[in-house]
Amino acid sequence: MKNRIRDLRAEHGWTQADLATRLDVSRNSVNAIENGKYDPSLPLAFKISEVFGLPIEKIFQKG
Amino acid sequence: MSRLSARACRIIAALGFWTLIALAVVTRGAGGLLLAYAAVIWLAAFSLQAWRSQDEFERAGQKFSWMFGGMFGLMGSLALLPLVTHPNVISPMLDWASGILEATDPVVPAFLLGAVYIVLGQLVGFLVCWVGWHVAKR
Repeated sequence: MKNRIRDLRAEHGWTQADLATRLDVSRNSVNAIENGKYDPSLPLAFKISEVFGLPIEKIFQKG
Repeated sequence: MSRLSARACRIIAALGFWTLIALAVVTRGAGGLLLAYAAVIWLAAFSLQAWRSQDEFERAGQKFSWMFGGMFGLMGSLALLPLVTHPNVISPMLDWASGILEATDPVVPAFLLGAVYIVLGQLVGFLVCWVGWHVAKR
């Protein structure tokens, strides 16, 4: 699954650690999700969409 | 009081467990057995706390590592059985275990060593897989 988290994070001027704090996960988790090495659970995906203020489908794409 | 991090819980779990096991080995007999039980309870309590403190990414790594690392560790320990049951290897270990347990029945140390051997095999498999999983997910 592809995602735009790295770009969105850069737009907000956040580090991986900043985003990790907002999501209440580790920085390693954010890094793995950004690199497409780990697909988040549905609850975490909803949390990510909430943090960026965007619908899930605008952040995650199939592929 | 703030909640301990998963890493801190894992370190406390491992240090406490091995300290109590070392004390059990030194104490021997019924007292040693009680210390060994305490070590297992300590490990379980802090492992549970570590599990609750970690996020879903880390939990996924743990599940994967116990599943595949544990399985391959078990298979590896079975594959090494001919080597570890060689008299030159097994006899000194049985003598050592008999001394610690102060058991008169030779079946007791043999049973204990067998159980520990399987657990160690799974633990080694888990650790190898856990490190590999984290490297692969970087």
